[in-house]
Amino acid sequence: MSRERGPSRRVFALGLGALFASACDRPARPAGEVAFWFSYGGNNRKVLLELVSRFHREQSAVRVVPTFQGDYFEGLVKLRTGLFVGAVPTITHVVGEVVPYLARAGVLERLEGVGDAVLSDLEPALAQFGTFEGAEDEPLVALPFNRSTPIAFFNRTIFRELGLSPPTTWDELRAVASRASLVGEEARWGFECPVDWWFWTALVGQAGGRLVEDGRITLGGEPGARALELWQAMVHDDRTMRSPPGRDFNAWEASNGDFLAGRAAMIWTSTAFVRYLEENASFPVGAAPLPGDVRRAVPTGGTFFVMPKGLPAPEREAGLAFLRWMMQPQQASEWARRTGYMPVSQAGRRELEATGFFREHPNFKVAVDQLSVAQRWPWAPELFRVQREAVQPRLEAAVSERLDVRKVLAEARLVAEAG
Amino acid sequence: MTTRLVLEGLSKRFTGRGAVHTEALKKLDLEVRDGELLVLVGPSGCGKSTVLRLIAGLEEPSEGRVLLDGEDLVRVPPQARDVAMVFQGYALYPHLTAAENMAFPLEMRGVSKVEREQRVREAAAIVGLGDKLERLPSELSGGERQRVAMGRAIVRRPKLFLFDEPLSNLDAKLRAELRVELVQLVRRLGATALYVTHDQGEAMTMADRIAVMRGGELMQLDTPRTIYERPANAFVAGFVGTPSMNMVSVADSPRVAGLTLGVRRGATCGFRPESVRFVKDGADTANPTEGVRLEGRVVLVEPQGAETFVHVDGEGFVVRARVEGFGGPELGSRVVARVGAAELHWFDESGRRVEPLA
Amino acid sequence: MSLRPTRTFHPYAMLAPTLAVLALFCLVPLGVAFHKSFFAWDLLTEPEPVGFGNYRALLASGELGELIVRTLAYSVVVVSASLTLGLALAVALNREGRFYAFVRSAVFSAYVVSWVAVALLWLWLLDPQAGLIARVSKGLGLTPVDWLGNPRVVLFTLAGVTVWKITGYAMVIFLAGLQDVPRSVLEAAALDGAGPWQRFRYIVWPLLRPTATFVATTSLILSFQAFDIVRVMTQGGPVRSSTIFVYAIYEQVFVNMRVGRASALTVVFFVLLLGLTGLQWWLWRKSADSRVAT
Repeated sequence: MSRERGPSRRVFALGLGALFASACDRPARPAGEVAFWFSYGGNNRKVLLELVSRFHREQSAVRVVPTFQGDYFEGLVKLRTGLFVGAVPTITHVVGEVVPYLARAGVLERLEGVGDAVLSDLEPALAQFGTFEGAEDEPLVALPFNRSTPIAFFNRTIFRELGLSPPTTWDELRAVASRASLVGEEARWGFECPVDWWFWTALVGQAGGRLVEDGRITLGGEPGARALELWQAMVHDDRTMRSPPGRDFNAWEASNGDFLAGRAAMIWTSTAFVRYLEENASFPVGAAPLPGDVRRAVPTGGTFFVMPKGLPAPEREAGLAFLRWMMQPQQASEWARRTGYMPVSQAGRRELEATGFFREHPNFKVAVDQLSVAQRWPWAPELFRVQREAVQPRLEAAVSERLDVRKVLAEARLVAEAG
Repeated sequence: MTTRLVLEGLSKRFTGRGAVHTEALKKLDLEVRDGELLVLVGPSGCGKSTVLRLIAGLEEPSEGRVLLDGEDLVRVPPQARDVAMVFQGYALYPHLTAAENMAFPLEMRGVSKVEREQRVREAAAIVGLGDKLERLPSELSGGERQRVAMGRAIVRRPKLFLFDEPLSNLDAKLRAELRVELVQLVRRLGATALYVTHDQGEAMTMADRIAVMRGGELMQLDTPRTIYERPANAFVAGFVGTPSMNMVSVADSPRVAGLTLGVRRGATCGFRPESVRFVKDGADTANPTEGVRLEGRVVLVEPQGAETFVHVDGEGFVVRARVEGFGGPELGSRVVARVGAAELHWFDESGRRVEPLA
Repeated sequence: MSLRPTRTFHPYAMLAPTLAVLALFCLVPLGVAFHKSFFAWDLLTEPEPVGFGNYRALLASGELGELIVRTLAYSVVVVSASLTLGLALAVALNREGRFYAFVRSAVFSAYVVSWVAVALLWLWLLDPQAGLIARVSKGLGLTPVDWLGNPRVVLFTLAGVTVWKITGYAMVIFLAGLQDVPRSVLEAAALDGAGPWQRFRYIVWPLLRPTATFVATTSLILSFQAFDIVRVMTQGGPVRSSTIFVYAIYEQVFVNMRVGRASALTVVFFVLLLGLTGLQWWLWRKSADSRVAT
């Protein structure tokens, strides 16, 4: 952080510094130590920490100190505050939507140093340049590791009993949800999906829309509205869909919980939960790609590794060494196998195919196959703000209170454009 | 309207830690007659305040009855008893003015505002509080607060007044003045009142009758004069009178130190200081078998103005004597004193008074 | 005796340490916030001057009005309920005996527990599926209320949890106040013909007024500062229905990365609190003038 700052900003920094009990001056790190702030919980955390231990067994020059920093958004708050007061980790990971913003703010280190061998092996659709469009001339600042798409999970027992198969269109989605719903004592939702930016984006793409068109934030225009109307219809008219309560990932956990408890026949969530759901369900779990409307489309999700700018060279190199190791086929495939995220290494994916893993575990392959219809995010610095401030806070009310979706989106556009 | 308060077999036990009972009052029988000012006196812990609180309804008796004009009050809550009480600390309502304090009992009884004001004015005039009515208790002196408390008690014209050491928070001079005012007030109102004090002097001066208590029991109930002249037992004899009565235990020996007793009529012999008369040595002509003869040295002289207290040490036994004015023997001088046989009080082993043979 | 200082700087020297702390932790940050409220700034890029833009945005979006109404609603419930319950409990439990001592400690213990622990506890109790309250109401054949999921209910749920936590404190202060009411004064009132209710109405309550004012002030301050419980239990939702002032400030700066907007909110909050303090001070003075205070 070499930029000049005014005195009042320094005072502010002092205040924030005191607030987080972190010193203003970056603490010097021992040579070879990599501070790694992560946001993985549950099984993902376990797998990650085991990978780190293996990394330590295989070499001794670099020592990784992983620190849990809460969920993605909490982690981001800490990263931003850390960046401001100059107390940053060597490596952390952030959601895709925030990468353009951080890159434009100039706080991210270039990561070409990870090496061509690694870069050329990365799955194009999951790496930075394949994830974003309009970023061909931007520097490489983000490396993929846990990458996902939304997929559908269904309760095979229920589906078999009712003779249902996973829906491939919106109409089928409504029909299947309706067939699988039960009212009364043993109430069951046919469909459950967090009313969340990510799934809305998927619906917008399926309805033929894009969030940003010709550099203007359109929030999908008419397809954006139709996406919300589908949810409204399923919640209020069909009464077949539950919009789980809770903010951000609380809602995701709620829908997973309902699915596992048999209270929801089908849910949409991240492929990241394949392993978790399979291991915790008392019934066979099926996975399927999301349906289409005018077309098939899904966004990608998950996080990228990033490195704050301006670290001492040895620390930077140590961080790159760890990233390099993590991107290698063996680690990438182990991570995918044990979690449900997609392998970011092409060689790693081929290995999973060759060893028959995908044949034995078809649920793990759904997201990989779905990559063919994955939509790229716009390389827009305001993308994150559009998500967090303009769209996400309005979705829940729009669906639960059945607001006029065009008015809601117009309002969101106004907020998004105001910047 | 006449008032008659009767206490029948009134007992009160307090249960303390570990279910240990303390008997504060043991089967008390007592009658307060109409228009009488009866003073309950005794050392602290004798149960006198408990009597008052039982009559007021602030405590429930363990046994016995409280009859006011024949009605048993035991199950009646304090607010429904027609009894007014003046507390030791006055217990004025700190957030109300003197007038509001005095109007409070009327207000609680639904007396109209006009009448309230009228009666408060009257009461204020009676207790001599005319111009301080709009002040808060914190803005009044101790004596004035006392008057407010008095006013609050009389304003509602209760059947019975209870006074719980109402003067003990005042300095001696003010206490003496208010004592007089209080007696006059009670007499003027023709009120029936029970007055509790630990000060036997207060009891003597104020009471129509005195009830002396000790350890939850009634020791004697009679007029001040009888209590003084014919104490029913050694305790009453010692408690009433200042300086208190000289008491000589004569159980074992006819001669106690420098004291020579004549005919013995009990285990303990008592005589009041004013009964002691100094005689010139050699001029002692009285019959040595009657009364008391004392030889000793003057160890302390306490002149009070109108009287002087002389302490005579007869080889370890100190006798208090009272003489008029500043007269009497000098400090350090050897003296002989006598007490006439008729002025001796005799008590048996249990402390009960032994009447002289007729 | 003169109370005039021998040197004019003496009083200032005495005040200096307090003033320094006050300046460092209150005045300077407030000044910085005031300054920053005229900028758009995300902590990472250069601040951009926007004039009254932040204030205008807060007003135009209607957010400010909603925030104030929500925060006041929460405060009114918290203050009135903790005051009433605290007083009722104090009166009911102002007795001797081990049982009452136990109940008193039990009620007060909630106050000692940290906010986060209380929030987590209630999150669990109020869980619509597995929560104790949902199970009990199902067992009684009642329709379970979605305490944290219903936008019309959630603010009052949070207020209820807050009341649960702080009532013990109000009770203890009231108990101290009650013990300052001399027993003989209550006995005098009883003999003056006042029944239990009248004794409370005409004697106890007027004497507890200063205590009540104190309790009301502290719980008002506390209710305006509420944050932890919102952060843990609802994150301001659903649909912003439990976003109260301090949480909104947090959300602006730490979620939306809008330091300027957050600063503007802080300034408004400060002015609001200043106004409330002024009002309270004025009411206090008024009641003191009418000689109700001791």
